[in-house]
Amino acid sequence: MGQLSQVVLDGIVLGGFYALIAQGLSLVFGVMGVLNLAHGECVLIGAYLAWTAQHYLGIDPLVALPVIMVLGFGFGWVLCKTLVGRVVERPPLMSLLLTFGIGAVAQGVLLRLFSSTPRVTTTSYSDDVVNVFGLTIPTPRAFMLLGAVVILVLTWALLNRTRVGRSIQAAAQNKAAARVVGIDIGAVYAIAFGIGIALVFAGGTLLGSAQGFYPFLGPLLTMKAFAIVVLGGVGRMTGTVLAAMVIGLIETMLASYVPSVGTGLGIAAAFILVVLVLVVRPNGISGGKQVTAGV
Amino acid sequence: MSSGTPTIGTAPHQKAADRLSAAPARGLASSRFADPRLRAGLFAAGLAALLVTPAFGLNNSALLLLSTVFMWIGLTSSWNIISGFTGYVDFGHGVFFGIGGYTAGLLVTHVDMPFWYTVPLAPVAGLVFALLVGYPLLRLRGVYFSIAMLGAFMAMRELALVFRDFTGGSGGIIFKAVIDRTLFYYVFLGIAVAVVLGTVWLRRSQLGSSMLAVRENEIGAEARGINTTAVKLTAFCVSGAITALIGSLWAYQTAFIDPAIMFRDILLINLALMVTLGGLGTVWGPALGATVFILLRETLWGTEGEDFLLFFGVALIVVVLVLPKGIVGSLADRAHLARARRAGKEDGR
Amino acid sequence: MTALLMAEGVTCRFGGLVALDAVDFHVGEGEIVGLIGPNGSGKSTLLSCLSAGRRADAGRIRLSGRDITRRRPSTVARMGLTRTFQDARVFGELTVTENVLLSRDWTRLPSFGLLRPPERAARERAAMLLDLVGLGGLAGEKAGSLSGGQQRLLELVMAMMPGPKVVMLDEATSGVNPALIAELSQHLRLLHREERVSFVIVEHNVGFVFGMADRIVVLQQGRVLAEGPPAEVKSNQEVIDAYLGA
Ligand SMILES: Nc1ncnc2c1ncn2[C@@H]1O[C@H](COP(=O)(O)OP(=O)(O)OP(=O)(O)O)[C@@H](O)[C@H]1O
Ligand SMILES: [Mg+2]
Repeated sequence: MGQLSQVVLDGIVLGGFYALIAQGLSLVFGVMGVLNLAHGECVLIGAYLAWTAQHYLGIDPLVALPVIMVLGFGFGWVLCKTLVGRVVERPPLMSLLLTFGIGAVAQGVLLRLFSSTPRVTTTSYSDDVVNVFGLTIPTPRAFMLLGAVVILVLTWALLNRTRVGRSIQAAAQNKAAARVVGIDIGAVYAIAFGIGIALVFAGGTLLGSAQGFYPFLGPLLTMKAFAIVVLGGVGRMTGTVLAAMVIGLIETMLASYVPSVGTGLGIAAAFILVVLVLVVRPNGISGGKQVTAGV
Repeated sequence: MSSGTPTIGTAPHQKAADRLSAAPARGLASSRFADPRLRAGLFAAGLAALLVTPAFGLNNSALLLLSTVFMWIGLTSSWNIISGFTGYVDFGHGVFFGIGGYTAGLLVTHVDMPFWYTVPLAPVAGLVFALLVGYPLLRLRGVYFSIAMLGAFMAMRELALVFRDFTGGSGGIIFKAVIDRTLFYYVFLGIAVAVVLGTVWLRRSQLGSSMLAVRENEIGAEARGINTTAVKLTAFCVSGAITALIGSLWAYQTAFIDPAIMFRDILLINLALMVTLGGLGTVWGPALGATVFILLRETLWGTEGEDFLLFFGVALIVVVLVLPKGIVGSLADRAHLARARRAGKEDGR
Repeated sequence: MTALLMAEGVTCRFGGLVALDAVDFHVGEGEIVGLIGPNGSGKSTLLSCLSAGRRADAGRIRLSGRDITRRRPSTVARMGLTRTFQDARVFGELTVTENVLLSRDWTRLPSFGLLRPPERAARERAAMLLDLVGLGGLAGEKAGSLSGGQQRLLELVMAMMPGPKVVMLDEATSGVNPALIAELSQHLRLLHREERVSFVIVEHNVGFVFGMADRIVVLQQGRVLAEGPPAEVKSNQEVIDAYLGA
């Protein structure tokens, strides 16, 4: 404990997870302008899916991961086509309220199905550790970081190297123009939302074997992801990753260096950081889309 | 002075509009409720009835139900000032409720102040917090502000939990119980009436118009000489101070506070739901939404059971999709439409 | 020479694009200045910088000798420099009268005036200005239900309401019925005479602006291409090539 390099490593691992879920939020927000307040609940749905697969079917989360991501994509796609897509063009409050409602429903359903008892997805390697340069990481956390990196790289490739990805980016930059060149904007929204949810389902799956989770964790995760998106600048993957690392590091440092109260201050620290950054740099660490009212 | 000059823009529908304002308005929403004297009369009569109600031996649970309605009218109407009038939708407004409760609780436990002395200090605490947080956050655009406030809310809950030597942590703070339903009935009634009348008056004042202007176009409002930062901050401070006041009273009524109940997520959902149901940014919508919602919940649901999250979530989704402008907003739209249609008919003749 | 509005070396960049390149611009007392130039030449940007809506990257702007470069836009408006927008920015949810009353002279508000409905004098001035442009009959309507041309006229009234020293109009004639443009110029002349206000008129309607202005400034790619009395500018070969055409 307390050894700086270990703390930094822990922070990076946590940051990798945050980067994954923040990227999902950022993608949806960047493309649709919808801030998904049910984001954290979606992470939890992923976690509970993995838990269920392990608990009842004995499938390892890493094996289930691709399937869960496909489910996530489908879930996001359907959610967008049935509910979220209807409010995209309306005032932002409507999508906030709607996703707030979706989050509440998800929380209620999770409570019903799994009760408020914390769960952990136990695997054959749950108690193992990996040694790196004399530092240790529990194996599930190592997989969390590894999985996050792989998925983020694949997402980057998808967004920048494929036709679909470029349509998404075009729509994010200019909806009207995207329409003119014949991009089906409704489909783009659904795909972007699907990808976003697939990312957080993956995040949940990886998180679930690394630490305990329970239905009320959702808003906390949403907030962290939001703080990261603001810090990093909307729609900038490098910014998001950087900001996620910052938040991850701050959190682990608080936990190890601030006696007794540090572990409980994750949100407060992230929030204060966001406020400070916004005062100094209204458009986030790396610039990007305008965040302030412009007056 | 412009007698000789022909006027610009003498479009046909201008004449229609002239006729409109001259003709006695007919139809449901416009005719009966448009008369301000009638509205004031109805309001006074209703208020008188509510004032004498406790004298008729209502049982405690009925009194509690009514004072809950009043409390929510106060909360929704004050939330509406920042969220509805200026359009900066505050998704963490519960933070003020918590701050109010904790201001009272901490003063009572640490300074041993009599409770009623702490009541005026709670809104001051809310105001100071609104100033500190509002200055940086009100520069953010709509959605960012909303969720940043949610962050403020969660951060304050965390702080209340973590600094347990000071706040009592999750163990909370116990007040000396004062169980006087009639007293709270009148207190919350007074707050509800004051806030609703304040809203009516605000909507007519220049400050209120400036808030609406900020909601519609901030850069445009600034160009018209309105200091938009000052307007937003004022709305936020007023809104936060009222909510903090209600929070402190609620804490007193409940006689116990802890982070989980003073900073309740459900409060945020309730606020958003009731105000959307009634009509965000309208004068009477929040009060109506609160009343309808609480009475409905009471009859359909009883107490907040296990599945209340599910229930609220579904209700919120349905309201957003079916009645996005709320009851008052939709009625106003219909009245407007009817008026326009009538004007069109008269034009056609 | 001390002009009423005096801008020196105003520079404004959008990323790599230099929208205004060290522009000098001034408006004298009671003067009507026409500001013309091709699309994207920086006219609207110049108005934004002058009214403090956008902070200039370099340069100094003074109004009646006082530096306004780093003031809030609302402060500048209160000091007597108001504008309209190319996309008329009226408040659709408020009535026409409320729109005008919002744009009053805030510095002359009676004590606690903000907390009260607007006072009699302000109402009368609002009604007078609305009648002047023919919007009197629509005073009680929501501004959002007005036509595009009517909204422009309303915005003109809003800019006039506080009794400013300089009013800057960004394409006041666009979307206004051609038959009414002549009337608009009459109204502007009347206001100019009665209230002794200076105008800056950004226009693509060449006939209108050359008929109104005492002096014309031509912008091209963020620089002043030519400046002078209308007749002189009209015959300037560079201006003809760049903007007016043969
Ligand atoms: N917010 C902005 N961001 C980036 N570039 C901008 C912005 N506003 C204006 N520009 C650029 O600045 C230049 C000047 O624009 P401006 O609107 O001032 O032109 P204008 O002379 O008013 O043109 P028009 O006659 O079409 O109204 C243009 O090249 C425009 O693309
Ligand atoms: Mg322009």
